[in-house]
Amino acid sequence: MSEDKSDVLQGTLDLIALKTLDSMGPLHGYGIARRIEQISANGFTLNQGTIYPALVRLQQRGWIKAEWGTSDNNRRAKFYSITRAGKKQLAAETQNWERVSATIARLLATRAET
Amino acid sequence: MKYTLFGALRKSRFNEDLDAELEFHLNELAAANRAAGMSNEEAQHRARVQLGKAQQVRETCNEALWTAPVEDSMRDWFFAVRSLHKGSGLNLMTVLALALGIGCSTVIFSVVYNGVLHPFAYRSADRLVAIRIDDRHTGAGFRYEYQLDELGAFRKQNRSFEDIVGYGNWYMTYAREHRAEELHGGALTPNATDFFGMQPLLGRGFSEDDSQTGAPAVVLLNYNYWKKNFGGDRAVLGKQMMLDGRARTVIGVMPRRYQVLGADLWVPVSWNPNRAFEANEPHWFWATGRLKTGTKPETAVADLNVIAKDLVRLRPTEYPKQFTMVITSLGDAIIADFRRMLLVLAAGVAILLLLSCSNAGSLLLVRASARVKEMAVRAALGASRGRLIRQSFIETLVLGCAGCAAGCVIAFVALRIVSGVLTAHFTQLPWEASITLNWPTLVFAIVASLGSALLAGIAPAMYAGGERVQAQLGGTGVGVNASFVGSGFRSALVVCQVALSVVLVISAGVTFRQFAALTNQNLGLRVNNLFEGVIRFPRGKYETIQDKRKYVNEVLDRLSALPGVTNVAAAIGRPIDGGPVTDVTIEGKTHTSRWDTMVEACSDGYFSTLGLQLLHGRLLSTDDVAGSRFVAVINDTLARQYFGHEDPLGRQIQFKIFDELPGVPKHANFEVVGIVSDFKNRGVTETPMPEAFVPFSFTGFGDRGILVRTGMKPRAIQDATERILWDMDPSVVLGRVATLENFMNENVYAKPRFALITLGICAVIGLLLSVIGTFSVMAYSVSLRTHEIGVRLALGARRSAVLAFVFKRGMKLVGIGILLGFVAEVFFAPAARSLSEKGPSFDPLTAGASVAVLIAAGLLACYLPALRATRVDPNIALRVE
Repeated sequence: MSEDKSDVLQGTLDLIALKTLDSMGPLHGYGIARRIEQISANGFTLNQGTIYPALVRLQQRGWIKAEWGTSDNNRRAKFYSITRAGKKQLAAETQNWERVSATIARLLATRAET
Repeated sequence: MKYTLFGALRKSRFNEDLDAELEFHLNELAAANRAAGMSNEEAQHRARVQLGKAQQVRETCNEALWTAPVEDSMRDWFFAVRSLHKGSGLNLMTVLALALGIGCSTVIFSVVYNGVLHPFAYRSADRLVAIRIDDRHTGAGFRYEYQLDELGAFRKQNRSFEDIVGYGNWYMTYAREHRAEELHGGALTPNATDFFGMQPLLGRGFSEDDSQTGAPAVVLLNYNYWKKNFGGDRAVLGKQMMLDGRARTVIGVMPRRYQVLGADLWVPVSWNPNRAFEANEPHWFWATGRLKTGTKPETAVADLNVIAKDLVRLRPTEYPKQFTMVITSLGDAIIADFRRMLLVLAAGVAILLLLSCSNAGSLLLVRASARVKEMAVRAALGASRGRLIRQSFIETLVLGCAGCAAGCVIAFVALRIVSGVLTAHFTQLPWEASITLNWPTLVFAIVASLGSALLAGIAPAMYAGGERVQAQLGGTGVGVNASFVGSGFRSALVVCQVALSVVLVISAGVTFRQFAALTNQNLGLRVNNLFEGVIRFPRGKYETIQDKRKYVNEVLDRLSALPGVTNVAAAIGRPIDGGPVTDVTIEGKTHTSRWDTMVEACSDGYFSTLGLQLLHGRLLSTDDVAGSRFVAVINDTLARQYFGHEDPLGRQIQFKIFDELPGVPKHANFEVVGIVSDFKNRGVTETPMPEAFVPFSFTGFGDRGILVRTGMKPRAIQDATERILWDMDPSVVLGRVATLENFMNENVYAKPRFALITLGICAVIGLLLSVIGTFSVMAYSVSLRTHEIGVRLALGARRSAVLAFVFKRGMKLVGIGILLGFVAEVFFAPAARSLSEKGPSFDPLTAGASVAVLIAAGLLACYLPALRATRVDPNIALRVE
C-alpha cells in the first residue's frame, strides 16, 4: 500500500514539475520548489530536496532539459526548461489526469449519495 | 544529462553538478530566511531542514538515474509480451518460420561441414597431403603406393614436409578358440602416432622402438572395434591377441576419430626395407605428408620430383617414362567426389535461410500494418518516435528470440537424430567425421534471422513516427492499411517465396528422378538375395590348381546343400564393382591401342547365379572347371567391340595379365565358346565394358570369392559359411562379407541418396515456409477486405463467387511466383547441368510435377482464408465502420 502511495506521489510530483516549467518558463530547482509551495499554498508541504530526483527522471525521458546559467542575484544556477516531447507528454498526462480525476470524482459523488 | 551508455562514466560529473545545485538551493533558502528576519545561523539551519538531508537527496537522485530507464524498459517488455499474446496465431507462425529456417539450415550445413568439408581431427589436417605419381603421357594417376625404401628416401631427403607417414592394409587372421576371423589391420610406420597427433584414449601409441627387430609384438585398437568386441573394457590393455599366428599385446586404444585406413587395429612396421616380412604383411604403402607451414604445393612437388628422379634408377619399371609427383590435400580426396553435390546443397541451404528470413519478414509486416493505426494514435498522444521504435524493437526481439530458441532446439534435436542415422547407415562419409553442431552456422543463421526480423519489425514504427501521422488518423482501417507498407511489398515477398521454393522443389525433383533412374535401371543381373564373400587362403596352402579346385568345389558343394540356397558360384571380383582389367590379344587381329577387357575367373554356376542370358554358343561347364580347360565365355560388348561382325566362337584370345601369374603358360590361348548378355560390370553409372569369363581353376594362385543366392538372413549365411570353412580347415578364413544389396546401398547409392535426402528436406521445409507465407498474407488481406466482401454479399454476390475472388487473388501471386521460379531455374539450369552428375537436369515431367505440388500448396494456403471470407456476415461486416 505504502509503495502504491509513493508511486502516485512520485508521478504526481513529476507532473507538477512539468506543468510548472510549462507555465513559468525556464527555472532553477529552488524556483520550482518555491513555485510549487506558492501554488499549493498549504496544500502539501514539500521536502524541497525531493524535487531533484523528479527532475532527473524528467530529464531522462527527454521531457525537460537543463542548462547552467546565472540567477537573478548573479549566481551560477542550473536552469530547467520543458522540451517539445515534454509538452506532448504533459498534454497526454493532463488528459489522462482529468479523465481519472473526473471518474474518481463521479465515483465519490455516487458513494456520497447512497 | 540524458541516459546514455556513458552514464556510468559521467556519474562523478553528475554528482559534482548536483552538489553545486544543492549548494545554490541552500544559499537561496538561507537568504530568503534572513530576509524574513532570522539570524544568520538560524536561517542556515532552517534552510537545511527545508531542503532535507543532502546525502539522502544525492542518493535518491543517483537511484533515479538508473531506475527510470529500467522502469521504462520493463514497461516495454511487459507491453511487448501482452501485445504479442493478442495476435498469437500470427506470432506463432513467425516463430515457427524463424525456427524452421534456423534449425534446418544449421543441421544441413553442419552435416556438410563436419562430414565433408572438415571431417578430420588430426593435427593440422589442412596441411596433410596424399602423395602419388602421375603418368604425364596419359595424364592419369599411375601409382599411389610405395615400397619402404622409396618412402624412406622421400622422408629423409625432402625439405618441404614436416614428416611423411606410410600405411598399408594388413588383413590378419585373428584366432580364438574354435574360431578364426579376418580382421582389417593397418600396418603403420612407427611415426604414425606422432604424425597424426592424436593421443590414445587408453594406454600409449607407437614409438620407434616398437618396430625394431626382436621388440615385443604390439597392437593398437580402433575405438569402434574395442567397443564392439571388448565391450569398451579398460582391462583390455596388456591382453594378448593371436594375429596371423603371432601373439601381440594390446598397448592402447585410439580415440573414436582416429581412423587411419578405417582398420580394426594397427600394428607398427619397421622402416627397414630389408627385414624379413611376415606372410600377409603389406610391401606397398600409401604415403601422407604434412607440409611445412607456408610451403607452396609447387615447391613440395618440385622437391619430390628431384628425389624421385634418383629413385627411378633403382626401379626403372615402376615409374612411367614421363612422370610427375602430385600431392592432393587429404580433404580434397573426399570433397572431389562431393564437389558438385556440395555446391547444389549449399545453394539449397542458402535459399532455405533466405526463405525463412523473408517469411518472418512478411509475417511481421502483416502484423505491423494491422497496427498502423495503433501506432499513429500513440504517436499523436505524444509517444516519441524513439519510444515507438523501441517498443516495436522489443516486441520483435521477443518474437525473434522465441524463434531463435525454438530454432536452436530444432537444430540440437534434429542433429542428434541425423548424426545417429548417418553414422549407422551412411558409410560414404569419412570414418573420421563426427557430426556435431557447427556453431558459426547457427550464429550466422540466428543473426540473419534476427536482423531481418528486426528490420521488418521496426519499419512500421519508423514510418508512424514520421510526418504522416495525421494522414494515418484521417483514414479508415482499410485505406490506412492499403497505403502503408504497401500490400505491394507483401505480395512481392510472397512471390519471391514461391519462386524460391519452385527452385528448391525442382532441384529436389530432378535429384529424385536421377536417383530413381540410377536405382531402377536394368543392371543386367539380379542383385537381390545375393550374398558375397571372399575366402582368404594362408600363404603356401592350396596353391596348386588341384588343391584349390578341390577345396573351392567342396565349399561350393557344402554351401549349395544348405537349406534355402538356390545358386552358388566362385568368382574373383565383385559383380558391379568390377575385377582385374587387362589388355587382350585376339588371334588374327592387330591393334595399336590397348584392348581393355575385364577378366573373371569363375565356376560354372556363375551365370545362373547372376542370372545372365546365354546369347550364343555355350556356357562354362563343370567339365571345363574340373579339367581346368583354357576356354572363355565373353560378354556381348566384347563380341561387338573386338570381333565386329565376325563370329567369335572358336577363336583364340590371350589375356596379358595371366602371363604374370605363377604356373600359367606364357601367351596362353583361351578358346571362345559362348557369348552372354551384358551387365553393369564397372559401376552402375558406366556402360558395360568388354569382359571374359574363364574357369577359376586355370590357376591355383590367389583368393577366391563366393556368391550365394539365398533367402537366408545375411548374418545366418555368414555364420553358416564360417562354420563350413572352420570345419574344413581352421587356417582358411572368410573376409569381405556383404550382401550385394547392402554393398550397393552403402557405396553406390549412398552419395546420390545423401543429396536426395538433404535437398528433399530443403524442399519440404521451403514449401512449408512458402505455404505459411502465402497463407498469412491471404488471411490478412481477407481480414482487410471484410467490409468489401460484406458489401458484395449484401448486394447478392454468391458465396462461390467470393471464394473464387479470394482464390483468384492468391493464386495470381502463386502463379507469378511459379513463373519467376521457372525463369530462375532456366538461368540456373545450365549451371546445374554441369554440376549434377549424369542424367537429366531438367525434364518436363519433373517440372510438371513441381508445378502441381506448388499449385496444390498454394490452394491449401488460400483455402482457409477463402473459407473465412465466405463466412463473413454482411450485417456485422457493414457495421465495422
